[in-house]
Amino acid sequence: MMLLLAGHAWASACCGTSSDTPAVLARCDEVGVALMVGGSQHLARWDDNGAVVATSDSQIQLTGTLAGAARFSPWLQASISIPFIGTWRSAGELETSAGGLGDLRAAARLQPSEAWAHMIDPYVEIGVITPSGTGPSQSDDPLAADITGTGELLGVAAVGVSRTPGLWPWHIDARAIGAPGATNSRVEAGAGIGRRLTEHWLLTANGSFAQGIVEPTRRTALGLSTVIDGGPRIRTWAGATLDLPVSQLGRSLPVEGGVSAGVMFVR
Amino acid sequence: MMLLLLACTTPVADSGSGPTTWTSDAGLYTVAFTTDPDPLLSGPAHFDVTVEGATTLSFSALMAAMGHGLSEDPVIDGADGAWTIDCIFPMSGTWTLGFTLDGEAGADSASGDVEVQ
Repeated sequence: MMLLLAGHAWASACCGTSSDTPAVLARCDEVGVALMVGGSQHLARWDDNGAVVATSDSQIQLTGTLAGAARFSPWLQASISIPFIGTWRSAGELETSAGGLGDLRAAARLQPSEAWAHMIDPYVEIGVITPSGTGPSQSDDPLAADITGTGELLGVAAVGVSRTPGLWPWHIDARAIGAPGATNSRVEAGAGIGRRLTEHWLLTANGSFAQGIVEPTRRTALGLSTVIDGGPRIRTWAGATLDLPVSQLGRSLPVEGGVSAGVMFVR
Repeated sequence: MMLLLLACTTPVADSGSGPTTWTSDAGLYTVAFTTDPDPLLSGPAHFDVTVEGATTLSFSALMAAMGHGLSEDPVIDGADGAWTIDCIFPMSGTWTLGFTLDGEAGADSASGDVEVQ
Protein backbone atom coordinates (compact mmCIF):
# COMPACT_ATOMS: atom_id res chain seq x y z
CA MET A 1 0.00 0.00 0.00
CA MET A 2 1.20 3.47 -0.77
CA LEU A 3 2.00 5.75 2.07
CA LEU A 4 0.42 9.14 1.91
CA LEU A 5 2.19 12.31 2.79
CA ALA A 6 0.88 14.06 5.84
CA GLY A 7 -0.55 17.47 5.15
CA HIS A 8 -1.20 20.50 7.24
CA ALA A 9 -4.30 22.59 7.59
CA TRP A 10 -5.05 25.85 9.28
CA ALA A 11 -8.25 25.76 11.29
CA SER A 12 -9.01 29.44 11.48
CA ALA A 13 -7.43 32.74 12.14
CA CYS A 14 -8.80 32.78 15.62
CA CYS A 15 -8.24 29.17 16.53
CA GLY A 16 -4.79 29.36 15.06
CA THR A 17 -2.85 26.36 13.88
CA SER A 18 -4.78 23.20 14.39
CA SER A 19 -2.63 20.51 12.93
CA ASP A 20 -4.80 17.92 11.32
CA THR A 21 -4.02 15.52 8.57
CA PRO A 22 -6.80 15.28 6.05
CA ALA A 23 -8.26 11.88 5.43
CA VAL A 24 -7.05 11.18 1.94
CA LEU A 25 -7.40 7.79 0.34
CA ALA A 26 -4.63 6.18 -1.61
CA ARG A 27 -5.59 5.07 -5.09
CA CYS A 28 -6.07 1.50 -3.92
CA ASP A 29 -8.38 2.45 -1.00
CA GLU A 30 -12.18 2.46 -1.31
CA VAL A 31 -13.24 3.87 2.05
CA GLY A 32 -11.52 5.10 5.18
CA VAL A 33 -12.32 6.30 8.67
CA ALA A 34 -9.80 8.36 10.60
CA LEU A 35 -9.45 9.60 14.14
CA MET A 36 -7.03 12.43 14.76
CA VAL A 37 -5.95 14.19 17.94
CA GLY A 38 -3.81 17.25 18.30
CA GLY A 39 -2.68 19.90 20.68
CA SER A 40 -1.23 23.37 20.25
CA GLN A 41 0.07 26.14 22.43
CA HIS A 42 0.61 29.86 21.97
CA LEU A 43 4.30 30.70 22.24
CA ALA A 44 4.31 34.36 21.24
CA ARG A 45 2.60 36.44 18.59
CA TRP A 46 3.28 38.44 15.47
CA ASP A 47 2.10 42.01 15.87
CA ASP A 48 0.57 44.17 13.14
CA ASN A 49 4.04 45.09 11.90
CA GLY A 50 5.13 41.48 11.65
CA ALA A 51 7.44 41.61 14.66
CA VAL A 52 7.52 38.68 17.05
CA VAL A 53 6.50 39.91 20.50
CA ALA A 54 5.57 38.33 23.80
CA THR A 55 1.94 37.75 24.59
CA SER A 56 0.29 38.35 27.94
CA ASP A 57 -2.21 35.54 27.53
CA SER A 58 -1.76 31.79 27.39
CA GLN A 59 -3.63 29.25 25.33
CA ILE A 60 -3.58 25.49 25.04
CA GLN A 61 -5.94 23.92 22.55
CA LEU A 62 -6.80 20.25 22.07
CA THR A 63 -8.51 19.00 18.95
CA GLY A 64 -10.08 15.66 18.15
CA THR A 65 -11.29 15.06 14.63
CA LEU A 66 -13.35 12.24 13.21
CA ALA A 67 -13.06 11.96 9.46
CA GLY A 68 -14.29 9.70 6.73
CA ALA A 69 -13.54 9.33 3.06
CA ALA A 70 -14.97 7.30 0.23
CA ARG A 71 -13.82 6.68 -3.31
CA PHE A 72 -16.51 6.78 -5.97
CA SER A 73 -14.29 6.16 -8.95
CA PRO A 74 -10.58 5.91 -9.71
CA TRP A 75 -10.52 9.69 -10.12
CA LEU A 76 -13.01 10.91 -7.51
CA GLN A 77 -13.05 10.69 -3.73
CA ALA A 78 -14.93 12.69 -1.12
CA SER A 79 -14.26 13.31 2.53
CA ILE A 80 -15.83 14.87 5.56
CA SER A 81 -14.21 15.82 8.84
CA ILE A 82 -15.86 16.65 12.15
CA PRO A 83 -13.60 18.42 14.64
CA PHE A 84 -14.14 18.86 18.37
CA ILE A 85 -12.09 21.60 19.96
CA GLY A 86 -11.31 22.29 23.61
CA THR A 87 -9.46 25.42 24.65
CA TRP A 88 -7.90 26.57 27.91
CA ARG A 89 -6.99 30.25 28.13
CA SER A 90 -5.59 32.48 30.82
CA ALA A 91 -4.91 36.19 31.05
CA GLY A 92 -3.92 37.93 34.24
CA GLU A 93 -5.90 36.34 37.05
CA LEU A 94 -8.57 35.07 34.68
CA GLU A 95 -8.59 31.46 33.54
CA THR A 96 -11.29 29.86 31.43
CA SER A 97 -11.84 26.74 29.40
CA ALA A 98 -14.52 25.73 26.96
CA GLY A 99 -15.04 23.66 23.88
CA GLY A 100 -17.38 22.01 21.50
CA LEU A 101 -18.02 21.14 17.90
CA GLY A 102 -15.80 22.92 15.40
CA ASP A 103 -16.39 23.74 11.75
CA LEU A 104 -17.31 20.74 9.61
CA ARG A 105 -15.38 20.32 6.39
CA ALA A 106 -16.42 18.46 3.29
CA ALA A 107 -14.39 18.09 0.13
CA ALA A 108 -14.31 16.32 -3.17
CA ARG A 109 -10.93 15.47 -4.67
CA LEU A 110 -10.41 14.84 -8.34
CA GLN A 111 -7.32 12.95 -9.42
CA PRO A 112 -7.52 13.28 -13.17
CA SER A 113 -5.15 10.62 -14.39
CA GLU A 114 -4.49 7.27 -12.85
CA ALA A 115 -1.99 6.65 -15.58
CA TRP A 116 0.33 9.27 -14.13
CA ALA A 117 0.12 8.00 -10.56
CA HIS A 118 3.39 6.10 -10.75
CA MET A 119 5.16 9.32 -11.72
CA ILE A 120 3.30 12.32 -10.39
CA ASP A 121 -0.23 12.48 -9.08
CA PRO A 122 -2.01 15.80 -9.58
CA TYR A 123 -5.28 16.63 -7.88
CA VAL A 124 -7.92 19.30 -7.73
CA GLU A 125 -10.04 19.70 -4.62
CA ILE A 126 -13.27 21.59 -4.08
CA GLY A 127 -14.70 21.86 -0.61
CA VAL A 128 -16.64 23.78 1.94
CA ILE A 129 -16.10 24.72 5.57
CA THR A 130 -19.38 25.14 7.38
CA PRO A 131 -19.85 27.45 10.38
CA SER A 132 -20.97 24.67 12.69
CA GLY A 133 -18.58 25.77 15.43
CA THR A 134 -18.94 28.70 17.78
CA GLY A 135 -17.85 31.77 15.86
CA PRO A 136 -16.23 34.85 17.36
CA SER A 137 -19.49 36.80 17.35
CA GLN A 138 -21.21 33.99 19.28
CA SER A 139 -18.60 33.83 22.02
CA ASP A 140 -19.73 34.62 25.54
CA ASP A 141 -16.58 33.47 27.31
CA PRO A 142 -14.62 36.43 28.70
CA LEU A 143 -11.38 35.15 27.17
CA ALA A 144 -13.05 33.72 24.06
CA ALA A 145 -12.10 30.15 24.96
CA ASP A 146 -15.41 28.95 23.56
CA ILE A 147 -14.55 29.92 19.98
CA THR A 148 -14.36 26.71 17.95
CA GLY A 149 -14.86 28.02 14.44
CA THR A 150 -14.74 30.95 12.10
CA GLY A 151 -18.45 31.69 12.08
CA GLU A 152 -18.23 31.94 8.31
CA LEU A 153 -19.24 29.67 5.45
CA LEU A 154 -16.09 29.28 3.39
CA GLY A 155 -15.37 27.68 0.07
CA VAL A 156 -12.15 25.83 -0.59
CA ALA A 157 -10.40 25.34 -3.92
CA ALA A 158 -7.07 23.56 -4.02
CA VAL A 159 -4.62 22.16 -6.50
CA GLY A 160 -1.65 20.01 -5.82
CA VAL A 161 0.72 17.47 -7.13
CA SER A 162 2.54 14.72 -5.35
CA ARG A 163 4.86 11.88 -6.03
CA THR A 164 4.29 8.99 -3.68
CA PRO A 165 6.44 6.10 -4.92
CA GLY A 166 10.17 6.04 -4.53
CA LEU A 167 12.66 6.85 -1.84
CA TRP A 168 11.94 10.59 -1.77
CA PRO A 169 8.20 11.29 -2.00
CA TRP A 170 7.18 14.92 -2.22
CA HIS A 171 4.14 17.14 -2.55
CA ILE A 172 3.30 20.72 -3.45
CA ASP A 173 -0.12 22.26 -3.01
CA ALA A 174 -1.91 25.57 -3.01
CA ARG A 175 -5.38 26.47 -1.92
CA ALA A 176 -7.73 29.40 -1.68
CA ILE A 177 -10.19 29.53 1.18
CA GLY A 178 -12.82 32.16 1.49
CA ALA A 179 -16.08 33.81 0.63
CA PRO A 180 -16.95 37.37 -0.38
CA GLY A 181 -16.05 39.62 2.53
CA ALA A 182 -15.17 36.75 4.85
CA THR A 183 -12.61 37.75 7.47
CA ASN A 184 -10.92 34.37 7.23
CA SER A 185 -10.42 34.42 3.47
CA ARG A 186 -6.87 33.44 2.70
CA VAL A 187 -4.51 31.70 0.35
CA GLU A 188 -2.24 28.91 1.47
CA ALA A 189 0.69 27.09 -0.03
CA GLY A 190 2.53 24.07 1.23
CA ALA A 191 5.26 21.71 0.24
CA GLY A 192 6.94 18.72 1.72
CA ILE A 193 9.56 16.16 1.00
CA GLY A 194 9.82 12.78 2.60
CA ARG A 195 12.34 10.06 3.06
CA ARG A 196 11.15 6.50 3.02
CA LEU A 197 12.98 4.83 5.87
CA THR A 198 11.47 1.41 5.22
CA GLU A 199 8.78 0.14 2.89
CA HIS A 200 6.15 1.07 5.48
CA TRP A 201 7.71 4.03 7.25
CA LEU A 202 7.95 7.52 5.87
CA LEU A 203 9.39 10.67 7.42
CA THR A 204 8.35 14.00 5.92
CA ALA A 205 9.41 17.61 6.41
CA ASN A 206 6.68 20.14 5.56
CA GLY A 207 6.52 23.86 5.12
CA SER A 208 3.42 25.99 4.82
CA PHE A 209 2.55 29.63 4.28
CA ALA A 210 -0.80 31.36 4.65
CA GLN A 211 -1.72 34.92 3.80
CA GLY A 212 -5.01 36.58 4.69
CA ILE A 213 -6.89 38.33 1.91
CA VAL A 214 -9.37 40.55 3.76
CA GLU A 215 -7.22 41.00 6.86
CA PRO A 216 -3.43 41.16 6.35
CA THR A 217 -2.70 38.15 8.54
CA ARG A 218 0.21 35.90 7.70
CA ARG A 219 1.69 32.69 9.05
CA THR A 220 4.68 30.54 8.12
CA ALA A 221 5.16 27.14 9.67
CA LEU A 222 7.44 24.16 9.45
CA GLY A 223 6.50 20.63 10.35
CA LEU A 224 7.87 17.16 10.68
CA SER A 225 5.67 14.12 10.40
CA THR A 226 5.94 10.42 10.12
CA VAL A 227 3.54 7.96 8.54
CA ILE A 228 3.61 4.26 9.30
CA ASP A 229 1.60 1.61 7.56
CA GLY A 230 0.29 -0.66 10.29
CA GLY A 231 -0.79 -3.29 7.80
CA PRO A 232 -2.92 -3.36 4.69
CA ARG A 233 -5.86 -1.66 6.44
CA ILE A 234 -4.29 0.62 9.06
CA ARG A 235 -2.30 3.77 8.55
CA THR A 236 -0.95 5.81 11.45
CA TRP A 237 0.83 9.12 11.59
CA ALA A 238 2.20 11.67 14.00
CA GLY A 239 3.64 15.07 13.52
CA ALA A 240 4.73 18.36 14.99
CA THR A 241 4.40 21.86 13.59
CA LEU A 242 5.95 25.11 14.63
CA ASP A 243 5.09 28.59 13.44
CA LEU A 244 8.44 30.12 12.65
CA PRO A 245 9.05 32.85 15.26
CA VAL A 246 10.80 35.12 12.80
CA SER A 247 9.79 38.70 12.10
CA GLN A 248 7.86 39.27 8.86
CA LEU A 249 7.12 35.56 8.45
CA GLY A 250 3.82 36.21 10.20
CA ARG A 251 1.51 39.04 11.01
CA SER A 252 -1.35 39.67 13.46
CA LEU A 253 -1.53 36.04 14.56
CA PRO A 254 -0.27 33.93 17.45
CA VAL A 255 2.96 32.02 17.06
CA GLU A 256 2.06 28.45 17.89
CA GLY A 257 3.59 25.05 18.28
CA GLY A 258 1.57 21.90 17.96
CA VAL A 259 1.63 18.14 17.81
CA SER A 260 -0.84 15.74 16.26
CA ALA A 261 -1.38 12.05 15.70
CA GLY A 262 -3.92 9.99 13.88
CA VAL A 263 -4.99 6.58 12.77
CA MET A 264 -6.94 5.70 9.66
CA PHE A 265 -8.65 2.44 8.87
CA VAL A 266 -9.05 1.79 5.17
CA ARG A 267 -10.64 -0.83 3.00
CA MET B 1 -22.38 46.78 23.30
CA MET B 2 -22.17 49.92 21.27
CA LEU B 3 -21.32 50.11 17.66
CA LEU B 4 -17.88 50.74 16.39
CA LEU B 5 -17.43 50.57 12.72
CA LEU B 6 -14.92 53.24 12.05
CA ALA B 7 -11.79 52.99 10.01
CA CYS B 8 -8.62 52.00 11.83
CA THR B 9 -6.57 54.83 10.47
CA THR B 10 -5.58 56.43 13.73
CA PRO B 11 -2.09 55.71 14.99
CA VAL B 12 -1.64 53.16 17.72
CA ALA B 13 -1.97 54.89 21.07
CA ASP B 14 1.14 55.67 23.01
CA SER B 15 1.39 53.84 26.29
CA GLY B 16 2.90 54.92 29.54
CA SER B 17 3.07 58.61 28.70
CA GLY B 18 0.03 60.08 30.44
CA PRO B 19 -3.46 60.33 29.01
CA THR B 20 -4.02 59.28 25.42
CA THR B 21 -6.05 61.85 23.48
CA TRP B 22 -8.06 61.33 20.36
CA THR B 23 -10.01 64.00 18.49
CA SER B 24 -13.47 62.94 17.33
CA ASP B 25 -14.13 62.55 13.61
CA ALA B 26 -15.93 65.89 13.20
CA GLY B 27 -13.67 67.61 15.67
CA LEU B 28 -16.43 68.25 18.19
CA TYR B 29 -14.79 66.51 21.14
CA THR B 30 -11.43 65.46 22.49
CA VAL B 31 -11.39 62.09 24.22
CA ALA B 32 -8.70 61.68 26.89
CA PHE B 33 -8.19 58.38 28.64
CA THR B 34 -5.81 56.49 30.86
CA THR B 35 -5.75 52.74 31.33
CA ASP B 36 -5.00 50.30 34.08
CA PRO B 37 -2.89 48.34 33.39
CA ASP B 38 -0.74 50.63 31.30
CA PRO B 39 0.27 49.33 28.82
CA LEU B 40 -2.83 47.23 28.32
CA LEU B 41 -2.59 43.47 28.82
CA SER B 42 -4.95 40.61 28.02
CA GLY B 43 -7.61 40.25 30.68
CA PRO B 44 -9.42 42.87 32.76
CA ALA B 45 -8.80 46.52 31.93
CA HIS B 46 -10.00 49.78 33.47
CA PHE B 47 -10.34 53.05 31.58
CA ASP B 48 -10.75 56.56 33.02
CA VAL B 49 -12.20 58.69 30.25
CA THR B 50 -12.82 62.41 30.12
CA VAL B 51 -14.57 64.20 27.26
CA GLU B 52 -15.27 67.85 27.86
CA GLY B 53 -18.73 68.87 26.69
CA ALA B 54 -20.05 65.33 26.17
CA THR B 55 -23.07 64.12 28.10
CA THR B 56 -23.32 60.53 26.89
CA LEU B 57 -20.68 58.01 25.91
CA SER B 58 -20.72 54.50 24.59
CA PHE B 59 -17.72 52.27 24.00
CA SER B 60 -16.77 49.36 21.81
CA ALA B 61 -13.67 47.35 20.97
CA LEU B 62 -12.93 45.32 17.88
CA MET B 63 -10.02 43.05 16.99
CA ALA B 64 -10.18 43.24 13.23
CA ALA B 65 -7.51 40.63 12.51
CA MET B 66 -9.49 38.03 14.41
CA GLY B 67 -12.89 39.34 13.37
CA HIS B 68 -14.35 39.74 16.80
CA GLY B 69 -14.97 42.12 19.65
CA LEU B 70 -15.30 41.78 23.38
CA SER B 71 -17.09 38.65 24.53
CA GLU B 72 -18.68 40.47 27.45
CA ASP B 73 -20.25 43.91 27.32
CA PRO B 74 -18.10 46.62 28.89
CA VAL B 75 -19.35 48.19 32.11
CA ILE B 76 -19.61 51.98 31.70
CA ASP B 77 -20.17 54.26 34.66
CA GLY B 78 -20.29 58.06 34.94
CA ALA B 79 -21.86 60.99 33.12
CA ASP B 80 -21.29 64.52 31.89
CA GLY B 81 -17.72 64.40 30.77
CA ALA B 82 -16.19 61.74 33.04
CA TRP B 83 -16.60 58.01 32.77
CA THR B 84 -15.02 54.79 33.87
CA ILE B 85 -15.06 51.73 31.64
CA ASP B 86 -14.28 48.19 32.75
CA CYS B 87 -13.85 45.48 30.15
CA ILE B 88 -11.96 42.28 29.46
CA PHE B 89 -9.65 41.95 26.46
CA PRO B 90 -9.75 38.27 25.48
CA MET B 91 -6.39 38.26 23.75
CA SER B 92 -3.28 40.20 22.85
CA GLY B 93 -3.07 42.15 19.64
CA THR B 94 -4.20 45.38 18.06
CA TRP B 95 -7.67 46.45 19.15
CA THR B 96 -9.67 49.29 17.65
CA LEU B 97 -11.51 51.22 20.34
CA GLY B 98 -14.51 53.36 19.55
CA PHE B 99 -16.18 56.08 21.58
CA THR B 100 -19.61 57.27 20.47
CA LEU B 101 -20.38 60.65 21.97
CA ASP B 102 -23.24 63.08 22.30
CA GLY B 103 -23.58 66.47 23.94
CA GLU B 104 -24.51 70.08 23.28
CA ALA B 105 -22.14 70.21 20.32
CA GLY B 106 -23.90 67.26 18.71
CA ALA B 107 -23.22 63.59 18.04
CA ASP B 108 -19.74 62.45 17.06
CA SER B 109 -17.42 59.53 17.45
CA ALA B 110 -13.73 58.88 17.96
CA SER B 111 -11.70 55.77 17.34
CA GLY B 112 -8.17 54.54 17.30
CA ASP B 113 -5.97 51.53 17.77
CA VAL B 114 -4.38 50.34 20.98
CA GLU B 115 -1.91 47.53 21.45
CA VAL B 116 -2.90 44.94 24.02
CA GLN B 117 0.41 43.32 24.92
